[in-house]
Amino acid sequence: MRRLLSIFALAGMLGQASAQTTSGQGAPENTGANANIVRWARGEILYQTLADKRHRGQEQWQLFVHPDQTRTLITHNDIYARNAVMTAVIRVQADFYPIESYASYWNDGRFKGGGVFRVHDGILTADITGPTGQFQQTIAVDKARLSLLVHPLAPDGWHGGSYDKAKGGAQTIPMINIDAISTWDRPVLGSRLDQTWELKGTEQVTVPAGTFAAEHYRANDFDVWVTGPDRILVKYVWSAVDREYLLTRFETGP
Amino acid sequence: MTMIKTLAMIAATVFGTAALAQQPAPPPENTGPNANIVRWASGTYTYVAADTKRERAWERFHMNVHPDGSRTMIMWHDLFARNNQFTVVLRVAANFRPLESYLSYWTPNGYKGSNFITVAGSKLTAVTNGPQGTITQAIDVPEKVSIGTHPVAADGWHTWYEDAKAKGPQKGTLYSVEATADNAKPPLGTPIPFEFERIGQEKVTVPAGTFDAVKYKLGGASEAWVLEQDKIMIRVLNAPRNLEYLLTEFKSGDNAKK
Repeated sequence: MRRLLSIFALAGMLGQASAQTTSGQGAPENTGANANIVRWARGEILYQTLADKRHRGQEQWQLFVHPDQTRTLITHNDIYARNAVMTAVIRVQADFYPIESYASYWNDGRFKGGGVFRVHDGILTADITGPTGQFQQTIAVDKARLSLLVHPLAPDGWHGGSYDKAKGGAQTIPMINIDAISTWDRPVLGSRLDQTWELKGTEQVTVPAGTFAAEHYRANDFDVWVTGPDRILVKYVWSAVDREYLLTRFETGP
Repeated sequence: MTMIKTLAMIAATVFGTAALAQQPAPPPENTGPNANIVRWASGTYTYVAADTKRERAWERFHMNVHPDGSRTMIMWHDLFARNNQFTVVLRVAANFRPLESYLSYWTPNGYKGSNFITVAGSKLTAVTNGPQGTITQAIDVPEKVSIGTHPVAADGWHTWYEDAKAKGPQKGTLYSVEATADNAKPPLGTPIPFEFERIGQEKVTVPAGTFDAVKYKLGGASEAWVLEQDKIMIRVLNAPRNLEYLLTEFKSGDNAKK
């Protein structure tokens, strides 16, 4: 329905088209913490070679934990060594099972594509766009254990979110890999690519952002250290391909 | 016309992160600027009550300008005064006409939902997902259209179709996304008339510094100061509603000058 643009549509610019109270007029506004944010964190990750510490890229991310313990992670990187740029927004349940993810990729100066991947009742449904057109994809997935591999590093700690510590040992994590870095003419489709994770123990790990008590996992042929209830990625070492990823800045609140 | 294909599980060759481990010898890596980023900017806003300067929210953004002139803007805010938390990614063409947007909204009543919006020519398609289920919207939009997602960083992009020779108010269409606290309403958009007017060049001082900006009147109620090149918002004042938005931190880089 078309309607006249009122003052409300561009309130505080388009910023606040909400029907709630206005600032300084009407009912008082909340002056405490946002009821939708139980806690938050943000940080930066350095990408570098393991051997000679040559910088390869960087990533910045923001995490919100909501009252129902679902999490929203916003992350974007600049992998200049590979001429890749990745942007992702990921939502997961309290147990880190994926709800939805948006991802968008640039490679070698061209837009590869983007899409939204939703998981509901054992079905992953994707709406994908890019230079080769628009696609829809559906994949049957595990209802109890799943992770989405969107390729920025910040959410990689979440892959082990379903790891059964009581059971221990090597465990298979069903995963959907989103094609981020093949040539531009291959759409951003998801495909099954499971990983094997094993908890090696709890360690103190020091990175430029500080020293953290972290869980150390051996996953496939790489090592991952994650900290806290939100499984923040502190360090990721992939010796086989001479790669290292380090948390260089970290803030959390409230 | 956009081709729509439905694909079942595709056993495509995957060049994902894990698959890289199987590559015997990776090619030499780039050591210069990223070929996908011509320039970038990032920053933070504070939302305040215009009269008392009472803080109401913060917003952060990061923008990349790509080699084809298209832009990606990532925006997220903590609007604690309203108990809102919005996350938005907006892609526009070189002329700032929208290509795609993803948004996710939390309101005082909890999770409202997400929306994935694509614009191809005159066709706008939106797929929203949330407490109301998955709903698809397909509508026609005119050439002069922009998407109102509610964070402020990209609100200067609503002026993209400005006719520099024209005098007075200019008109177009705003696809305004539903963002109220009524979560029974999914975050789908409605095309509504939109009007703006270029006032002129002005220096504007905000906590992030002093900028040469273009001042606009937006929607009849707001005064807005934006950077000329990428139309990044510097300051917004909506006096009738006692709302003000100020850039408090700003960083930018130009890879072409590296």
